[in-house]
Amino acid sequence: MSPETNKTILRLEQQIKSLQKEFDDFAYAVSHDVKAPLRHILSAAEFLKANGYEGLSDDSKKLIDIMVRGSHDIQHMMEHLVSYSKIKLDAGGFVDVDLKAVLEKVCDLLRDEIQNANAQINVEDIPVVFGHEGTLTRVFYNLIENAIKFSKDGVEPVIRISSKTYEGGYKICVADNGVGVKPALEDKIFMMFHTLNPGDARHEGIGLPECKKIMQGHGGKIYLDHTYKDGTQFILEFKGEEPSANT
Amino acid sequence: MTMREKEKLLRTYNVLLAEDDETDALFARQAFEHARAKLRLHIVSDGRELIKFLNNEDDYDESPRPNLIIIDINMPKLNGIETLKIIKAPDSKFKDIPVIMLSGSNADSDIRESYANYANAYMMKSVGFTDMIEFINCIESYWISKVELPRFEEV
Repeated sequence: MSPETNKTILRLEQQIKSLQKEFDDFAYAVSHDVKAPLRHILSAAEFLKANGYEGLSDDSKKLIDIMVRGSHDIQHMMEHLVSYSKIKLDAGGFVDVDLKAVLEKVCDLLRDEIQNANAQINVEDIPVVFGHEGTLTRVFYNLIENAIKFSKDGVEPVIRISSKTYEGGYKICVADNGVGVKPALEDKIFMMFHTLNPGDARHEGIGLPECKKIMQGHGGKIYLDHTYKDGTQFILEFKGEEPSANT
Repeated sequence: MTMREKEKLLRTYNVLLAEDDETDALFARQAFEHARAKLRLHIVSDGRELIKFLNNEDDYDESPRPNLIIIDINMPKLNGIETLKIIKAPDSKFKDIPVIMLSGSNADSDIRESYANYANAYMMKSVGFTDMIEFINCIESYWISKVELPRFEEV
């Protein structure tokens, strides 16, 4: 390697480090410094609700409710921001991860949701991948949770997870028979806090941005399969050879 | 009901809260009032004041020995963990008082450090008035009703 190349790498490394630090500071400020005043607003609004609320006019009651709801929403979003910012992937800690076992765990975590929706989850032959087990579990958790959440009315969710190889790597496909993604929204689904159900803060979208960040951390990517018409299909692309399954 | 149980019901319990945020302290006071708990709340503004309270120093010459201590982990002067270390030191007279650490974050490092220094519980700070009342009820039902705490005064 020429000394110039070496220098450039060092400079870029430093740049990445300082950006990471900047981002961490930002996330810290959001989680700590913003929390206190928000807590105060919420406490004040809830205090008003618990003391003398009944004697107020309907408009005043409505305003207090708006404060309570708004503060709760901000709080939810902040929790998501912090959890998103905490996703850090260090390729040095990667190991062989059996995706079958990961999916079993995810089904366990989502047991109630799966039972309530009477969802069927079909896991086909899927490989062992080289990566980080905890965050990959999160990817599948988010995808399957979404697939159940956005099922068609009156149609029991069927989710199929399969895999195929392509030149340069392998793909994991997660397909469902749900409502699908409207073409107009396709660009937005990987953006933070975008939601298909506006007005419902508990649905605010952080799952897919998380998946995107995690897949990028694995040197891969996630995208929507435009050719799939029976619902939604996400493709997770991993680069490199598939590690042998019999380790 | 045994006499001891009845006596437990009649007792008031002194809770000492160290909280530097004035607004949070205000809401804590109101929430304790609202919850009508059998807990008498005392508030100090930082760790140094808390230690003075325990030792009956300065203006605290008539302060009672608390049954329970709640410490905000982020405080100026003497921070939460440092205060905890003093209370739980081997030769401390107060190490038998249960201490609950309060924090706005669930950072693993804070949680680990708290328990490593003998905190009795680590809890997230309440996020609103309703949440705080729930917190107080939870403290009362666990630390006061269910748990037997050491007693110092003669019956």
